Amino acid sequence: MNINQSIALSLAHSWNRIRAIMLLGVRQMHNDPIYLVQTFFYAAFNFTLWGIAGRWLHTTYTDNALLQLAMMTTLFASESMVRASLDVMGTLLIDISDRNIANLFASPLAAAEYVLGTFLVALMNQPMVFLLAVLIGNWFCQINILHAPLAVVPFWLTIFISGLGVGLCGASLLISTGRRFFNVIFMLARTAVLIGGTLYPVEGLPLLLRGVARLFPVSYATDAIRLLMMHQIFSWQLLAISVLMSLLYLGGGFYLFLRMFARSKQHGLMRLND
Amino acid sequence: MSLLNVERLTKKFTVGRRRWLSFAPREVMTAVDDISFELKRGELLGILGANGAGKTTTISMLLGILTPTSGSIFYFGKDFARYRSQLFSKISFASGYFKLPARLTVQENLDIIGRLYNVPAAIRAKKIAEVLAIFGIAHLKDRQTGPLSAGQMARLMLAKAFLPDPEIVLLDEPTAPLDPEIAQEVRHFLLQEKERRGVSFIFTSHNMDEVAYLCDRVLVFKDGRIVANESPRALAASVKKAHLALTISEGMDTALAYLDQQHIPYEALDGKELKIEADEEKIAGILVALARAQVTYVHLQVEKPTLHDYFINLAKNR
Repeated sequence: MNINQSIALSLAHSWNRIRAIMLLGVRQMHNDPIYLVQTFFYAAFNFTLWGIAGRWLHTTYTDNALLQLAMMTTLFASESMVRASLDVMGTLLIDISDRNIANLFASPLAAAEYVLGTFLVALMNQPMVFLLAVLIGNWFCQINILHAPLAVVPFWLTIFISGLGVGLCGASLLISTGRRFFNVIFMLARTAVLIGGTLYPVEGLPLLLRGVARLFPVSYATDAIRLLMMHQIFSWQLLAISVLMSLLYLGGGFYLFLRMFARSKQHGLMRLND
Repeated sequence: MSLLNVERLTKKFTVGRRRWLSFAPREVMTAVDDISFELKRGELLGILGANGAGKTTTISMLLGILTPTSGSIFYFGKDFARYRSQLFSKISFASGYFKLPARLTVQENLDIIGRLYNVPAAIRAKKIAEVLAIFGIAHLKDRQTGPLSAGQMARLMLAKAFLPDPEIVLLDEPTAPLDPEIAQEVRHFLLQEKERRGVSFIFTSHNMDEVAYLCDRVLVFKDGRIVANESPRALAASVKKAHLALTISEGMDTALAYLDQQHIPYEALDGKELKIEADEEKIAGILVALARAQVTYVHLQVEKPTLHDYFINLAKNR
């Protein structure tokens, strides 16, 4: 076997293992309806709550339908980010709870392949979040986010990528401390929606929180989405900032996870069973 | 040929929590202390030791889920730290400490494991059916893993370990939760795999009879060190004391007087049964002396020292 064949085989094996992690995530959800409902409950809840509230504001106080559509679009983008981060963390959390960590990491699977597998799980759940936003928006709130311009897609993408980065930071904490801090991590992921300029511009936040909000790429991307939808202005500057920050989160999260994984092995992954 | 070479492996842990704003160094505990050993092709190597002796720490390092403080591990002549992923395609394990995802069915879990070990898609389903049949759990294949009993889970973990046709299998108390007849079937299977495919095993168990029956060689751990590296027979033979059981028909008092005089430890039961502990080579002399003293007996049994005796002796000498 020559070098090229050897590399091709190695890549094929690697892809098999990544797909195994993806399948693991998909089957967990497929086999447990309660887990499936749990996964998408908050997204459905928020779309309903803010969709109906937005419609009420629109019909009662404003005549600007674009505001309502912009709110739903930024909300979808934020839920997309939260779902991505929770999928990355959640996959690891389930493996810790199921005492499956050693089965995975005492196998040919590499930590980086595991991470890529969790990314695919996150990506596969995105259409469901989108579908919920479309269905709930149409049925309950007479908002159709399919009417949002296609130009929002790059901003959504940066928000999704930043979600993977946030998820990796949370997963780093999980792999080094175990299940204890999951609720804290869950709250932090949700806080990004609160202060990330999802439902209102960051300028509407108290001064102290504005600074914190600007640490999240989602705040730039939601600003850009609002600008695009309300004033038809595509901000290349905001796109560049959100792309850079998302990649920074992703790269930083990846580095942090690999560091914490190596550190966790110093103490032994079996410790996570406790 | 050695499939596994462990060289000067050491693992130290810091214990206790660091106090707030304290710079005092934390206590260091050495769980595994400078151990070296090897595993040959087709060898069944047992690891024995009391709780906390360093068995599980060693297994964890051999599995790559715990990083050694120092020392090295070579599988098939290659550095484990460097070629981990490549080497794991030939190494697998089963342990009672781990489970498989609860929501997935038995078949789905094995399918995931097969993919992780790159078992080709064309033969994966067939291999899964084979290992399920070998461990008697084919009827559970569509059941979710969560509600399985401890025995069923142990069999599933064994099926998982043998799915990728490994060359080295690490087994951490694999038969502990199993019924005696299933455990015996598993032992037969391990010996069969050893003979048929030349699979090498590292095996931990608290069942001394099992270790004596299965293992070619035993590493005995004590306080993180290997204190013996011998065959089970040689270890048992290193215990000098044997047990002599007699059912006395006449002369019990004479026998007891003789044993007291010679300072030979004994246990007398029901006025007839006498159990004597003595060096194996002195047993014949004791029997001659009792015969000369007109002691008669209707039943005699000599129990040679076993691995169990060796282990008890080791524990006593802590």
